[in-house]
Amino acid sequence: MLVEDFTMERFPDLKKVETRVFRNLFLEDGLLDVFLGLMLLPYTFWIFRPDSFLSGALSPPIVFILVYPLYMVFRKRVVLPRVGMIKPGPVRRRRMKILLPVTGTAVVVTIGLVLFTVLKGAAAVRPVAGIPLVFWILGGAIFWGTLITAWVANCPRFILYGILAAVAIPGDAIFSLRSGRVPLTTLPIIVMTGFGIYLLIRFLRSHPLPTSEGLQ
Amino acid sequence: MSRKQEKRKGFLAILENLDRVIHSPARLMILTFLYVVEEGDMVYLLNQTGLTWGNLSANVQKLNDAGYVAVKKSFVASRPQTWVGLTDLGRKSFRAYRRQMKEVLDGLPE
Repeated sequence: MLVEDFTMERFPDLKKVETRVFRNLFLEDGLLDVFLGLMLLPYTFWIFRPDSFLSGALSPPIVFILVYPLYMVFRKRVVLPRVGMIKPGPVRRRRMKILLPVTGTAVVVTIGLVLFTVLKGAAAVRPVAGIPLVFWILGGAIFWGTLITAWVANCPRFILYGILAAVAIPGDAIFSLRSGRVPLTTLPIIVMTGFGIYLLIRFLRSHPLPTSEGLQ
Repeated sequence: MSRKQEKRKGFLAILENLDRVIHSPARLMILTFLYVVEEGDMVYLLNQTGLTWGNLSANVQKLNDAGYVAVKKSFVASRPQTWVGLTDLGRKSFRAYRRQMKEVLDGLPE
């Protein structure tokens, strides 16, 4: 609720109102956090058990195909009836347009990395500062992707997610791949999905379903 | 007339000319939340303003009567959905009201 912004001592800052409305509608339910956390699962399996069936079956596109419809159904059935729907204003629409090339780049980088690793083999795992090249590229892509998403969505916690993921993926090349221990990549997954579930519970408690439709 | 009196007269004129349709906390909230989006449904307004259905409906109706908002009703999966958006007149009036209020608030002593 933003009622506290409406006092007669000052006029509400419209930029702040727009940001808070956007965050309330798209980021307070925690679904996006859970979704992004689950999208990191393939990398964990890939690092932890590169030869297992799961690391092959859970490639990023397959996880996306499995998780994205669930995200959309949950958003449509659980979130939207509680927060309502909007058509964003021009400023937000301009910002959201930036996400399209970012998402496109993420898809191209993922496909490119798969091809690069398959075709180049040894060159892909050639170490740069002790870390295979492919991990540098992946970590960098995730970091910049989340940074831009954080800016578009006015959501600073995505910067933390980006740093965690970007550090964990090359970090795994040093620790987990050599030691065979649980990969560092599980840390951002636990943080993102855990915080997302916490936000979702809080959201469901603070946003009961409206009882009836007005102006029918 | 002294400068102080002139200032006071101007200040009172602004207050007298304030748009009474907008100058109510509930309607000001509704207009503000509609101003920052292109349009939104009634659940959006209900969630953001914290008003009751009855209060929200009555105030949206008043704004609709004044020509400040446009109300569109539709059915999605056999459920009614009401979309509300600011009209050009509503957007213009909200801007004018905001300008006037800023003048009034900035002119107040600390």
